[in-house]
This record gives sequence, C-alpha cells and structure tokens, in this order.
Amino acid sequence: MPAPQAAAIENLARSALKSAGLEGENIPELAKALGDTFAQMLGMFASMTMVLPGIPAAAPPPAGSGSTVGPGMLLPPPAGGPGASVIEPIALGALQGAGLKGEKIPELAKVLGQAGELGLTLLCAQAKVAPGIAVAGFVTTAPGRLM
Amino acid sequence: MPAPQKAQLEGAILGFLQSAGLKGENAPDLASAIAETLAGALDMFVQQVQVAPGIAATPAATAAPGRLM
Repeated sequence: MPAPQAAAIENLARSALKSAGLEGENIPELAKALGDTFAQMLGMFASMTMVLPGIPAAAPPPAGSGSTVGPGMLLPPPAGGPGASVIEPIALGALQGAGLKGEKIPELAKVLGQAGELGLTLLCAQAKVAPGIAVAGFVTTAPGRLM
Repeated sequence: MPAPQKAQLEGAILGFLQSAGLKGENAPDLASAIAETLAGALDMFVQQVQVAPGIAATPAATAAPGRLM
C-alpha cells in the first residue's frame, strides 16, 4: 500500500475541522486543500526518504541467512523529504485549486509548509523500521514495516 | 507512538499561524484542526507503507540504504 491518498486525508480534515468548531462556508474547500497538500507531501517523502544502512542483523555466513534484529531509521527532510520551502508552493496550489483565494492564503500555505516539515521531522525521529526482516544470501528478502 | 501525536504539533502550528499574521479568534481552532489532520495522515502513512526488500547486508548489519514502497 503506498502513501495515503488525498481523499482519505480530506476525510480526516473534514472531521478535524468540524470537531474544532470551524463551520464556515469554505470549510469543505479547506479540507480538500489539506488532503491534497499532505497527500502530495507524503508521496514525495515516500520516494525521497531512505532507510539508513546499519540496521543490526544476524545473517551468519556461509548462507548469509537470518533476519534484521534491531530497528532502522528513516532519513529526515530536507535530504530525506520535502522541507517547508517545497511544501509551501504545493499547499498554495492546493488552496487556490480548491477555490480559496483570500488575501491570507499565501500565509496559510506558508504555515502548512512549516507544519508539514515539522511533522515529517518528528516522524523520522520517532518511527522506526521494525526488526525481523528476513535476510537470505546477504540481502533482505521480505518487506519491512514501520513501527 | 511512532507517528507524532496531535499534541506534539498543535502548539508549534499555532505559533506558525501567529508568526504568519493569522491571529483571528479562530486561530487556535485552525491549529487544532491542522494538527489533528497532519497527525492522522502521518499515522496512516506509518500503517500503510512498507520497506522494500533487497537491502544488502553483512552478517551483522544492513550495508546499503533501503527504500519505502
């Protein structure tokens, strides 16, 4: 399964905006823009980030078979994902594309860029690649999960 | 928790809004909604993506970078 899609995040946003008590006429457009922005950001992150080498493994020779036995780390932005300056124009396009054209829209796009970078940075600090990935012939042979 | 939680994001996002001049009475509500949406999206990401196989390893550790899929 790839990164979450815009429609799924838009649903999250609609519910979050409602539970925050925000009910103006432009709320559906804002939910759509949040969904589009964060979906594009996560898609870029999925393709840019790297699982860093050095995950502890136990794969003794000669077969080189076994599994990883420790957690792995993800490379954070800006090298491992979009930073605020990359996310901001995505957000501006999403906000304008959703039909939001108020004078504060560029400022809101800037905030979404900053928020997105913060979220990805925290994700890379907290989420780990789960141990237990099968290794055979000195190469991982099964997918790994995040935890 | 692997993905950052709403509470870890909300205060900073409110600061970003205020620094950007977005200081209306609904700014805290907007910060809350953005934080909840972002935390939810990051949690979905953690649940959905996988690490692609094919990472080279030595007997004791992986020796090359891996990718997500």
